[in-house]
Amino acid sequence: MAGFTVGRRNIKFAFLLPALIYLMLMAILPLVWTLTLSLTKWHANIMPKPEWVGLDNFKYFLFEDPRFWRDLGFTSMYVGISVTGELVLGLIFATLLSQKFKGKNFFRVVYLLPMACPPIAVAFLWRMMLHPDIGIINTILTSIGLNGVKWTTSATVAPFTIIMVDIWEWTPFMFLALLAALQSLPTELYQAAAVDGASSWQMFTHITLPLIAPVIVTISLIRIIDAFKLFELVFGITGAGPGSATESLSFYVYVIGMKGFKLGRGSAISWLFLIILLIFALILISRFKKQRT
Amino acid sequence: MKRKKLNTYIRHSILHIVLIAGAIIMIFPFIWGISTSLKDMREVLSSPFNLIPKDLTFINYKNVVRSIPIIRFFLNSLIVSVTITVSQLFTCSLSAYAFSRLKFPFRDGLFYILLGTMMIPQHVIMIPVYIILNLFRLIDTYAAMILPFISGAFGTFLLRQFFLTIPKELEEAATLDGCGHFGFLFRIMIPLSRPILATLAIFTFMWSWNNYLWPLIVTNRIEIRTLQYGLAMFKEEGGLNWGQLMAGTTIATIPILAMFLAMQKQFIRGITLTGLREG
Repeated sequence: MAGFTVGRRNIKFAFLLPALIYLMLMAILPLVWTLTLSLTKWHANIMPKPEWVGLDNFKYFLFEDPRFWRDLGFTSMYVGISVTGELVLGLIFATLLSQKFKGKNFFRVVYLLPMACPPIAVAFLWRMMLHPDIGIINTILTSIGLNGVKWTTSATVAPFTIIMVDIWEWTPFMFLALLAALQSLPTELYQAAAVDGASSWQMFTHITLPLIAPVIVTISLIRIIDAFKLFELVFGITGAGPGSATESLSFYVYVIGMKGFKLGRGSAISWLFLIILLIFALILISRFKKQRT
Repeated sequence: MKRKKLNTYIRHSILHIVLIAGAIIMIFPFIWGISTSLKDMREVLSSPFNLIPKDLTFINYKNVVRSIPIIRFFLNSLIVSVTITVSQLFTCSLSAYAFSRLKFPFRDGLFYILLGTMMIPQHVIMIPVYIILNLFRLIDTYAAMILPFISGAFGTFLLRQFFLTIPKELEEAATLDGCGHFGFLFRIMIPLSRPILATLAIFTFMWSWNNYLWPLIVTNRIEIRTLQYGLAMFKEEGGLNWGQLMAGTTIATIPILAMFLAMQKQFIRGITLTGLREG
């Protein structure tokens, strides 16, 4: 009997093994390792070993490096506007397409396409369309008598260009998740509300929104985390320019760590990155909890 | 009564106009990209308004195939994405089973920690994972692109949510028939979970096919690059040859869009089943 229990336990362990290995090698070990590295100076291409510097790297980014704050500013603005825009548009399209009418399935598929497209391909498609001279968008604008816009070459416009393309690419994700949520809502509530004479707007704000709020929080979190990693669009559309008006935090991490081989600094900035994300997430979750109670 | 009919008619018209406008915005970049890839350079620069090329030409595709080993890149992408997808389906099924059906200490705590790892951006773990792969001399190999992603928190989460909805009685019946945990998982749970497995497969395949940053970091040799990385080579080389760039972009995009279109019903159904709900 004892042998049997041990056997059962071993089998359980076999099921759990992939998750444990993943957790160890892709999360805990790297996190601890990066934290230790962040306290060192290590230019991997010229120094054989890391050299202990304490909190210098963190001091550098927080107090001496304007580039870090500027990139953080741009990234936060981009995340805020894009995710809000995607959520609102996604909700509008999901509401429209959860009604019954002809051709619904065609629209549903079309509205998902951008999400499946490789981000680097998205960047190139839009770079061509937004080209100041030969791009189709400026061609259309000038042909109807408007001025062409310096989509990628003006430091004030370029950040919004990135935001616009991001909204195009990721509204489909919000749309998909919200459509699924809308379809799982119980129809009885709406029938009861209709009997009581509620308008469709009242039904939307009093029934639909509260019921899908958990989904909204979940998908917003997923998108915020993902949006913070903005890299391909910057790389492919503006190359972080003009100047460095569209340099995202994750682009900067890449430049320091993977191009400059400054592993100590790279680790420190990626930990700052993680902390900022955690703060964002906690604020969002606690706000949501407050609203519920 | 007539007036009500007219109202619904107007409402439906507005609905359709909004939806059609949205659909054009969603689909136009793809059509425009394909159109540009079929024009010669002169036409791209001189008449940027033509949707249907005046002189249809495949010269850009020929040039792409001649100037970079794009077929090799295509195969590399396929090898990497298929391997990652198959292994995720397997490993995530195992851990999802553990988190939904087995009892062991700290089970839920461990699950939430795993869930928490979804918050960690790739950048934070990039450097250590690179160093580990380098230690085992794996940089510049397929393994470097595949190993970090053979299991994942998202897949485990998605499958666990679905496994929880499968009735417990089935397991009791199976145990009575002498079916062990492995037998139950592979003979009963997995066949029942086909829609959600399809969803996970599409998600994982799409994600690894589209992944650009990681192959960029762990590979140097040209022969081993993936399609997305290969595509970026155009930017450095003939950056202004839009026709060629669009031909490359089309080659990199068509397979994934085709797969998505072929499997979209399964995909949407899978999302509806789990609804990305909490729990």
